[in-house]
Amino acid sequence: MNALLPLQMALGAVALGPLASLGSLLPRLQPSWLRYTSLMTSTLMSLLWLLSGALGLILVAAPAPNLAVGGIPLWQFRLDPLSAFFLVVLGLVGTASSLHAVGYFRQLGRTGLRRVLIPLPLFLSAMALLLLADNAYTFLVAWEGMALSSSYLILAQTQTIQARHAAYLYLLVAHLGALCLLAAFALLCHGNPLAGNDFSALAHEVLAPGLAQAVLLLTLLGFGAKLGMAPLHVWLPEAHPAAPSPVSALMSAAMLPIALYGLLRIDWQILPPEGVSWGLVWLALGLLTAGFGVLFSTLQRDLKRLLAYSSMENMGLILVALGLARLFVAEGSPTLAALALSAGLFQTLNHALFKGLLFLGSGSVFHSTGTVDMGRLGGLIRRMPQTTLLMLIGCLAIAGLPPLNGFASEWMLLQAFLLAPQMASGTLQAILPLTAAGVVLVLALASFAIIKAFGLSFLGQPRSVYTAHEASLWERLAMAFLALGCIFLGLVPGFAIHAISAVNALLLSGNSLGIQQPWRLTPISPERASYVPGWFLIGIAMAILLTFLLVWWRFGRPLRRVPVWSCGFRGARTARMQDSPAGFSQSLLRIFQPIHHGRLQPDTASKELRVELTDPFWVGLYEPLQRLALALSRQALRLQHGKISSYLLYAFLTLVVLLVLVR
Amino acid sequence: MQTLQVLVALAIAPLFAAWLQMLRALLQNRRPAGLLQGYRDLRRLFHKEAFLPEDSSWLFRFSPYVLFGTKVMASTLVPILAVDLPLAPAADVIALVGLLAVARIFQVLAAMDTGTPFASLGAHREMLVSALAEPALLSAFFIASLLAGSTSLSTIVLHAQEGLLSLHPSMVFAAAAFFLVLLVENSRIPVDNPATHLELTMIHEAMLLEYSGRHLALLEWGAQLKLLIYVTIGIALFFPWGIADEFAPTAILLASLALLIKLFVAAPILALVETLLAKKRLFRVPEFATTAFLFGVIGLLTHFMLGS
Repeated sequence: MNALLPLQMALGAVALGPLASLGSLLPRLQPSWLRYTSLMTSTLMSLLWLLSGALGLILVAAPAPNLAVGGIPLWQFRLDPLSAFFLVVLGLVGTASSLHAVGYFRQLGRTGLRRVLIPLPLFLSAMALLLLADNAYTFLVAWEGMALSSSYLILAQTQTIQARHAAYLYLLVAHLGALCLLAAFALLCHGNPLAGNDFSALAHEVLAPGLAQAVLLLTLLGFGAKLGMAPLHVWLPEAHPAAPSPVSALMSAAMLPIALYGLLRIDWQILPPEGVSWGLVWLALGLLTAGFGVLFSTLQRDLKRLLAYSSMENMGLILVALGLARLFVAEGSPTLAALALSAGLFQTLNHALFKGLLFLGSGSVFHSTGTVDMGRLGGLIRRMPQTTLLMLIGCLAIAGLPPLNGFASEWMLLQAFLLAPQMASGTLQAILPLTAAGVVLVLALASFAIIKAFGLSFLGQPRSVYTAHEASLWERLAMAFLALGCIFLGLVPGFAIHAISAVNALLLSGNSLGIQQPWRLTPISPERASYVPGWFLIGIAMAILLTFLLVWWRFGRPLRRVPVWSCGFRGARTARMQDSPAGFSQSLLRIFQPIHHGRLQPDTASKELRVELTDPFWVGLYEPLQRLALALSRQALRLQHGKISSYLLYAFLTLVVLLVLVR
Repeated sequence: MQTLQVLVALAIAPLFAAWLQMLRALLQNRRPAGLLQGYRDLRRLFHKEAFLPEDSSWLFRFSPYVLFGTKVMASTLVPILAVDLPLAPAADVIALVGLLAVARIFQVLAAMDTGTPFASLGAHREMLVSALAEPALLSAFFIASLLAGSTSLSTIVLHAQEGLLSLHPSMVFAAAAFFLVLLVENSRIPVDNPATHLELTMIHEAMLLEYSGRHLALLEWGAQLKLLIYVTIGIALFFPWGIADEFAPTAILLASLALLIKLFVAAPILALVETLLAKKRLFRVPEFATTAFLFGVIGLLTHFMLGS
């Protein structure tokens, strides 16, 4: 087989994106036609990426071939296992989001549709282009395209002041990040990012140690801003809820991992992970992000905001896993590094599946009821039974319950922590157990947050009057696709680990994690630890079935529907007597008060209590920065008098200074 | 062998609960109801008619079976009588914690499904308490598995039988953390009161309020089974002598005898704790669970500081 075929296929799909965008501009197209053709093209593109990614993981032998187009500037592309893995992630989420969008946008007119359908294929193409890019120029162009198209998508449906604020903040942080990346690439390419050295050539060059450190810092800031890493996360909880749900799903489940891709590509492949310190930095920042995200997600009232903070938490956990892998590399234990790296990448894949599913589901809820405010929802299990079932699968997966996929990757991460004491270094031995304890706490709180989201939205009585309808066939199809992925990867985790081993081989120069059977995980040896989700499922299913049959056979009597007993309470039972979102997490609010300074505030309009939260990073970091910038600008204003003579003097002085400096 | 262990666990769970009740009654100067009361209660509940609240969904009906099924599954994974059972490689301690979390989350979801104020009260309290207790439980397990160099329960028990675990100082912290978690997770007295109804401080019982008949019987039996599982895990980690490491009839017989004796001794400790302590205020409960977590973390640190 032609080794370039997967790459060509993926690039062909990338080229379809701009075509689809242009196609949406055609006049006199029926809205339904427009919707079907454009979104089916997006689906096709995503499926092609999925296929080429899978082929790239299985077939492409190292070193992957490179494809160059154009002269100056030179576009260079390559599909190696690392790109292929993230291309699979993008393909999965892209397929589901495009399918879901067919149903989700069904009531939009032509103008409304165009607002979505022009940037959407561009966004998808930019993300794929970024993954295939093989030199600094291509990478940066794709990066910028991704930021711009997604900020248009945030404003596609709502133009409220909050949404515009969110989009502005997003664009601002994205560009600060892009500036950092530009600087990093300039350092990497010795001042000329247009020179056209591909990434493997960059990897062979030796940088001065100081420069390498600067690049590591700049890329961490640049990619961290996109990743939602604390303290650069401020845009994330604003932008995700503002966007239409298929876009939120794409942003959260595909775009955030792409920032991880960049981090792995530059800080791992080009600058090999040496020394302990950066591993520790990743570990610490990851834990900070995860802890912060999970704490805030438990306190949210808006379903999509809760999910956005939960994405932050997941990204933090992945960063912890990658940091751990870096530490293991530095300590010279490649097997453990492979384990931690696989855990991180597997979690990335799982996060794409279940977070995509949950964001799509929240979109269906919004479409059906007109709100994602958990204080207004409730009882959807009776109105939207199939959506609820699919969402339940997603929630159980993200809560880390066996035998679904979320548990499998968390299990691997914890195993990596438990195998750590083989390492020699002394200082790490105090840090690692504390980190492990922190990770466990984060995982437990994450299941609190997600059960809150599911329980308040889908169970109990409706908290307000609405007419809910079941999601359309397209939406359910998209969600079922992702839910099946969650179940499949949960039952045969070895399949995913096997696919990831190609990435391990690339990043760790040889895969030292033993070959995994598809249905069981045994990281080191069966005596140390093993996990067989299939037996698990069969065991539980058999136990449940036997119990049911036995109980039915021995004591089966028809069930009777009766009014709820409710401890004998005879008064009028209203939906307001259930937990409100603030009530559900009130105790957590109280326990973690010293950290987030949240308070319960009465809302006079709706006569209920709401949680008042301010982001400590916003108050402590961003507002002082803002004040500093304003003060500096005021000082700069002094130079501006509006007198032409003094401006000429400035120009003259500048000229003199330049002449002296440049000569 | 696997089936035998499950059947034994199922059979003695109500007995153990009744023995505990009996000791509590004796300590509180009440007349005990007898050792067979557990079985009598279950029989009575199973024969009663089961009601469903008017607007509950399939989750409500389905959950008792899930709960019971997962706990039965959990009892296959714990070395109650013997190590290296056929299903043992399917899951390690982390997966066991996950399995118990499945049961808990379905219970919480079922409670929220009815939409009654008491049930949702119980639901969010349960989630709160377990969100703090689960890390403590895991860190206690981490200590044991770090010492044994494995997260497989069978390997840990074999290590413990050679006396390699119990002499280590970090195991003391692990034991303390585990004991506190046992009280929290099984809704024993300083945290929750298993004997109460109509009290604003209850957690576990509040979630069962709407259940009746055979569903309630399954839930009660499941709760007894969970207590037994926790106690046997504790035994396996900290007092593993007598657990059979081969499938010979004499070894099994000895193991069963040892188990009965250990359970016989374990109950008075629990009964004493429950009699001597008062039920804590709800806002004190997180502190209790956090203490357990702290013990776990200190244990982990001790392990690393002292070297393995």
